[in-house]
Amino acid sequence: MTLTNVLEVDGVVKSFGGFKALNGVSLKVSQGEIVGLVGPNGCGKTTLVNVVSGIYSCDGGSVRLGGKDVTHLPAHKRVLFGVNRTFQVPKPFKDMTVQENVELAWNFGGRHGSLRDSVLGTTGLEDLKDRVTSTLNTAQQKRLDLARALATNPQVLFVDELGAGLNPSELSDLAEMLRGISKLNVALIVVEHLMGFLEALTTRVVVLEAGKEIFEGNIKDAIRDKKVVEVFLGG
Amino acid sequence: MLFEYAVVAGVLFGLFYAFLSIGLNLVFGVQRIVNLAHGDVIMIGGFASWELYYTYHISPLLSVVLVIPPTVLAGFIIYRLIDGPLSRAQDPEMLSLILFFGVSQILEALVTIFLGNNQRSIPDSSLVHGPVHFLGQSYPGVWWIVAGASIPMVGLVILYLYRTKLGTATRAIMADPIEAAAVGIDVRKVSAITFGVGLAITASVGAIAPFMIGGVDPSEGVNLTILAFAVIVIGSLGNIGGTVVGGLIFGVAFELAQLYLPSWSSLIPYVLLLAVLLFKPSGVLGKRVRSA
Repeated sequence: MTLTNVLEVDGVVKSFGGFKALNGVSLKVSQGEIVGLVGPNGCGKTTLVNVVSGIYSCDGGSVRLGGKDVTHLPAHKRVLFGVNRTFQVPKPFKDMTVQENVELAWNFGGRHGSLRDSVLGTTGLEDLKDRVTSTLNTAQQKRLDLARALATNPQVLFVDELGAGLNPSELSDLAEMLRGISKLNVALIVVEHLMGFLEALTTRVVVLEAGKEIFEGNIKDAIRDKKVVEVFLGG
Repeated sequence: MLFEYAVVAGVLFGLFYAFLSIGLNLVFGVQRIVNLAHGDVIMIGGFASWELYYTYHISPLLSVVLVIPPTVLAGFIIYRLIDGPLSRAQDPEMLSLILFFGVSQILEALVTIFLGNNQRSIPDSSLVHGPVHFLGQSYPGVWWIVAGASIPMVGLVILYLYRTKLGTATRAIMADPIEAAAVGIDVRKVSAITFGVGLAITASVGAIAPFMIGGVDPSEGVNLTILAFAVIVIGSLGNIGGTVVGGLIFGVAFELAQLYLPSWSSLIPYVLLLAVLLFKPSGVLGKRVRSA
């Protein structure tokens, strides 16, 4: 079976003043695939997420979603083209309930989707749907962030350090949840520091260092790769 | 009995102050724009009401509604013009301060050039004849009419924010514009509309403000901006419900000061502003101290 590339990032460049945060990064992801995006702090992972999701405009290269060039589209239009992301520090709309947050996302970003009613169940928030979001703890806020992104019916979803701060049991539940989401044909790019967590999810990883891709391939090979080891362990 | 009079008058003025300030809070809440021309927009609404009354015999109460459509349109256009420079600025709040200070000066100068610098007033009889008696006291009838008009206008803003799709998007942008974009909201478009709505509400209160502040003149903008700013800081910046609370606190405090310390009463806006900034910087209804 041939899998279609739903996301094609080609030679993306992003600079902040004189600092090149991304220097020609390319990435292809297929429908329903899970890819790990790893690298040390400041290597450009979140910048890449911001560029692909349209929060930042890029200085070079291109981003294609489902074959369409979305490089110059603003963030809200890219949501309609099927790309979304979670945030490292989630900021739910605080004077709204969990349900209202998800409804808002469905109303503006996911009208064509059928996920609205199921995302609360998928993310384990069904019992909290009437809670005002300012009363949620960080883990619950992260799940709401994921639920809101899912409600926009994405084909490509960046999950930015969702596992940070979770205990092993919570990480196991999260891995199960993400596997379930990928089975809905959503391509997941999981940005994470926790290699063990990624191993439970996928075999394919992309490693960034100083805005450049230094490795792409099997996670087991990445762990043995000289360059990757140098980057993570300082040689 | 004088105490009761001051409290009732304070509540009536408090409702008016809430109406007078809500547009400023809406505009600040969405794009962190500090609109120093807020009072000048009220002044223009006042002159429009004066002109409509004397030229076309239109009631100022009707002018409250009539000034809305052209101001929404003007606000939408102005926002589109300033959005680019503001979104590219390193410190958009400071830029908006400078930008709207300039707008304020231009509006005041233009109105002075075209209409002169005389104070104009609209007779109370255009709204109501005679006083209103309440709890054994007699109050100017226009106070009750203006306070009565303020309630549905403030209510409409709250309904807009909490019961419409556009209003919900506005609240999402107030919470976090980046997260709002991430759920598919066109932040630029919704912000432009909200800016227009904020200006329209502001011009709208101007149509009846002359009855509460004694008239309308081109130089009144600065004082009205300070008053509105005090009200929204007391209530909580960016919190629309807080504006109502801020207006009522300000109104009652001002009337009580006029009763017991009349020569000090003009200091009330500044004293309340300082007290809130010192002891509860997030405002009476604020949950946390803002970083911005």
